[in-house]
Amino acid sequence: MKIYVHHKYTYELFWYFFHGVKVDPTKVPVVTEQNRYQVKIWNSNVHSIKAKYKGSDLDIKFVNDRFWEDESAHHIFDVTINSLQNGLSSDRMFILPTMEGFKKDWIPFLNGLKYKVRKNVHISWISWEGFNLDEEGIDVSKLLKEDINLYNDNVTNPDRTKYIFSQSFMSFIFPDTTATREYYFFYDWLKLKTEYDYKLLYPVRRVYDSKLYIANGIKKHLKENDTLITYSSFTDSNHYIWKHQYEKDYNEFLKFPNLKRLEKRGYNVEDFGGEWMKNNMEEGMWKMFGLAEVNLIHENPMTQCFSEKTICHILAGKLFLDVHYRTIQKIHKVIDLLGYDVPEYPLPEYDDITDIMPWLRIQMDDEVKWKALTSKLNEWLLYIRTCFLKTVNTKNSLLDEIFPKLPKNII
Amino acid sequence: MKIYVHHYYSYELFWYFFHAVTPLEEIPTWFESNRYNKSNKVGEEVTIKFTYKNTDFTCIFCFDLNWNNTDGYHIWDYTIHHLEEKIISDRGWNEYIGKDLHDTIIPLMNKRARLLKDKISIFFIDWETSDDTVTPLLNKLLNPKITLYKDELLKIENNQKVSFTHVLWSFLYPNTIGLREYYFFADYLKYKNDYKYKINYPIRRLNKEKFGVATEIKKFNNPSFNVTLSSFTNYNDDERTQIDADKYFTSIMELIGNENYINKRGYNLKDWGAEYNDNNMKEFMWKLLTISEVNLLHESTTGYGINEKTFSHILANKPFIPIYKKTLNFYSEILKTYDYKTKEFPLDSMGWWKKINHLNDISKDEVKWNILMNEITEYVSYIRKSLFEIMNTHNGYLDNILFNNDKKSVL
Repeated sequence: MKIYVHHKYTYELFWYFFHGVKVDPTKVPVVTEQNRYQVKIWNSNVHSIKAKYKGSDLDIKFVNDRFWEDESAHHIFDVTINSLQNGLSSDRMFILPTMEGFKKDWIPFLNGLKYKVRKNVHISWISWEGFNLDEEGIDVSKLLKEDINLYNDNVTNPDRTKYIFSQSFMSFIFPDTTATREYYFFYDWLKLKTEYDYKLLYPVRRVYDSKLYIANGIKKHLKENDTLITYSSFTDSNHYIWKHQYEKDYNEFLKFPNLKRLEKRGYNVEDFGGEWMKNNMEEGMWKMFGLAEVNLIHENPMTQCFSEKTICHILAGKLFLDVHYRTIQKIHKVIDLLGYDVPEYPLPEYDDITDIMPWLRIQMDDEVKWKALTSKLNEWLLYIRTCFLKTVNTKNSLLDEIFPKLPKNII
Repeated sequence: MKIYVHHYYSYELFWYFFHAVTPLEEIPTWFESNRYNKSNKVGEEVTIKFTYKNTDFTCIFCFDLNWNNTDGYHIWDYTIHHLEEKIISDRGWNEYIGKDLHDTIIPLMNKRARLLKDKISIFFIDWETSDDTVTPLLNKLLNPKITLYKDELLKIENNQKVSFTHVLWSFLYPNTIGLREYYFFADYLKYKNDYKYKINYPIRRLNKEKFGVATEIKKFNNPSFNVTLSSFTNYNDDERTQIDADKYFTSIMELIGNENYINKRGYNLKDWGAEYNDNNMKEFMWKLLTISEVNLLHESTTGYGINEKTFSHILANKPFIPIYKKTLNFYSEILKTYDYKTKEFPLDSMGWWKKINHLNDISKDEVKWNILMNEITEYVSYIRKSLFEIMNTHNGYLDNILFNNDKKSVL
């Protein structure tokens, strides 16, 4: 089966698209004439790699902008990778230029391809932002012809867009633009740390109303000695666009007693720089994972995708709770979709975490109960981690979609 | 005092050039040009005021502009220039380094020195000691009015200097090889106490010398004294290494066994890619610091310079033993220059053969081994602490401008 990837080549891109296949890693090229002395160069020559997936031979070619007319091949194109390749962004995030560029340059081109080609064109847009591709203002699934296949990282979609778990997960790893891959290796080291100053950390990067609400819940129900709330110096920097809109909330927030300001802009080696995702993720790993036994993360409950917050905790095996139970439900839904048994979650169901804070307080006040809870939470987390990693090392969601007749097709 | 920095601004470059200063304003990070892509050049002049040792300074990052301004000092770094031009992607050895000196760089800088006279400084920091071509070329052809800052304590002629603080910071900023992470990694490395071996001799690039050391170590048949070999040797087709690698590869594999062959090209998440310095350093941090209590390092700078091998261990606070005598002399020179007490490294008076024999003996005696480990740990911690104090409070270049000590070439 012939597959054309319409991007320049790097070995990281190979793994991003073709994890789960049978291949000898040493046959995945790394050094080429173009990048020999400059690792950051993406190779524009055609690169061919043979692999096997579920018994089928794959003839994979990274062809960049060539061979779009070939009717006998499947054509893969990733909207964010295109942005990275063209220098529009330096990490995987939804940004206006990415969308505008795709609408202006690519949609007319893709729609203009012959039907026989279009039905074998596979467009993915994994953005970690959770917007739907038929949303007003986005409109990608409306503008692209119906026969072009669309994929994203939303677990559920209201339109024809399909969820691809394995590429969504691997997007956090390769290309390694945000240093999230390091959390996978950090796992081996983090587990060596057993003593923490606090039981629970609520880390806040940007202060706004819903975060103030949760912090109030912590203040009301949990003991000061057990909990820490941190906020990033970013929240009062001029780069925070909602700074003035949430000024009142911020001033209220500053009154909390168990509060610690994390200075992103430390001196010399301690300077974590600007608000790029890579810098934030590095700061998160080195400065925030060692503060408390359990992190209380605050994902957007309305989005259907996973963000780097959840994924980095799973990769590092760092115990976490989420402010909204919906995040846990989302994880369980994916586990179910992947064909694994859904594990028991050690916390009672809640809407937002303040619903169960009195219960949490009882667990935190009693060392035996707390130990039992964290132990079960650890068991749950490691099960999720194992399922996710096993999946991306043995399965490939996009290939399962491209070749649906292959056995054991999951999602 | 005004200093024109002839590079594109980044906060990392600010720290590289102006560590140890007190900034009088926030060090900027985001600009229109790099907001979405952190690797984009900042194409505007950036001015920052700071004080250093009771003197006011203004630095102006102005890339190729303002070379005709005679109202201040001018600085330019050879490697940073090539990084900006995207010819190379990290500091350290690269085939391109030095090739443009004769025809392009030296004539251009000499021309600028006609106007700027002794107000111009060039940094040539390549982490390679005692080469036969570059240093003689610079010594012979560069206008002696130009202050050349180099990174080796060899043949310091004319108006040449060594700014120790810039040499040290060059490993951290710009963070091209992930060495800054070693500094933070120290917080977790300290928890590990269940190493498989007492000593490991890690070989990345196999050659005759290293094969000789490995052979002697394996003769001891000591289960605590291990040798590992990176898969680098096996697939790289670089003429510099291939002959030695081919010659000794089979023999060393018979000595060390497959379990000590460190496979760089793992599957998917475990693929460390190509032989770029950043890939190597990341792989080393996450995988090779875990093997033994102490690493036996084959650094061939012979004390006239340093490279990433010993400095990464110091950053991570990881015990190490240099193979050669006097490898650590460069660090001692730094301590002496800044009036810190120097410490003799245990075993430093021994040649490599005597050293490994001694280690073989001592590793079998728990009491003696623990004493040695304590001494090494104490040494590494002392060096780490002292170097960071120096790096955070002194700036060799600014000291030279301020105190203009003509006789003192090492700063």
